[in-house]
Amino acid sequence: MRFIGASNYSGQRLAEALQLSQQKGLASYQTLQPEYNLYDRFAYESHLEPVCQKHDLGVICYFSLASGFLSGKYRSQADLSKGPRGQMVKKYLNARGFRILHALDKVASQYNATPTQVALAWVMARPSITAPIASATNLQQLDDLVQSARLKLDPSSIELLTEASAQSPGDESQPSAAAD
Amino acid sequence: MKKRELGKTGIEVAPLALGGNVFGWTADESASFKLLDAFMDEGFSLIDTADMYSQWVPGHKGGESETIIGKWLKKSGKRSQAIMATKVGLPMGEEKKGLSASYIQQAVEDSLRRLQTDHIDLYQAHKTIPTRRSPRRWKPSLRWSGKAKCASSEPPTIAASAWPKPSS
Repeated sequence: MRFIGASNYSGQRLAEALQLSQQKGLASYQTLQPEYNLYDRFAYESHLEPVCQKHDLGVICYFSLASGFLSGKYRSQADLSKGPRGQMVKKYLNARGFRILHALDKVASQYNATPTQVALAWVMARPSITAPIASATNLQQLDDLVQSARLKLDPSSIELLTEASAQSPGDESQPSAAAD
Repeated sequence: MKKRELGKTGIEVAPLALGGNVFGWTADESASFKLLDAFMDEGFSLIDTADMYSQWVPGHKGGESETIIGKWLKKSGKRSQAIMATKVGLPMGEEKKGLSASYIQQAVEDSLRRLQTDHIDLYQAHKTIPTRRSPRRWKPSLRWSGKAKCASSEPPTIAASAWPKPSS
């Protein structure tokens, strides 16, 4: 074992664990693995990111493509049967989700890239994030992931995506914190 | 592609980790090997899995992903280039779950065996698990050395962790 990390912790519990490690002189968590993507932003940004930044934790995030929704593969109820994770994507088919897809399409066309590449590049551009985690089941999908790490978005594109995924009054409410 | 330091660990990684949940699930062994080879060949190194992947698949018991990665590490000879991250805590069976010191000691040996390696670079608590112990009996910390698994270039590291009392 070289280092230890935490996954699926709330901000409060993570802070408690780090404080206790420090008090007791124990090895402490060096990384956090939270859920984070262009759609599911607020639990991390509000509660976890401040703790990670304070303690210089490495952050590797999961569901970086919102179970595949941000690939643009699922755009209607009918699309939900397209993949093994279709049912997990259902919750993203709403006004905010479509606004995000629209912004991804727009930026992707500017860069001659794919929505997947842009969505991952947006995560990578957030200073507190070390690396998003993404999986692939074939080499074509893997290439999409690989290209995302070479795509450098300019500040205006990042801003466009960030704005598109902001909460609007008419949107469905977000859970306020990660489950403990 | 600029590398980044993983927190304060001194480990430098390219800004993308490969998710191992699909290995043995939606990617069979042969496809998984190709994906892992291609990922490393492109200059990436961080591979993330968990002991319980892919326990949710009917007929699976957990350990399928680590087993495939272990076979690949052995066959490819790329262990020294790869940064291996795995997790412990979520159920692998009736008694095999949680974050107690005794269970972690058993689980880490199981993960090392499946991964066919002598060290894990990053060992993660999969989910915080509240304890039901009363405050008096509750041990605020656990120190566990197991067999300190270290990279050969690293000084011996005693892995230790602290699990706080659940917030009420």
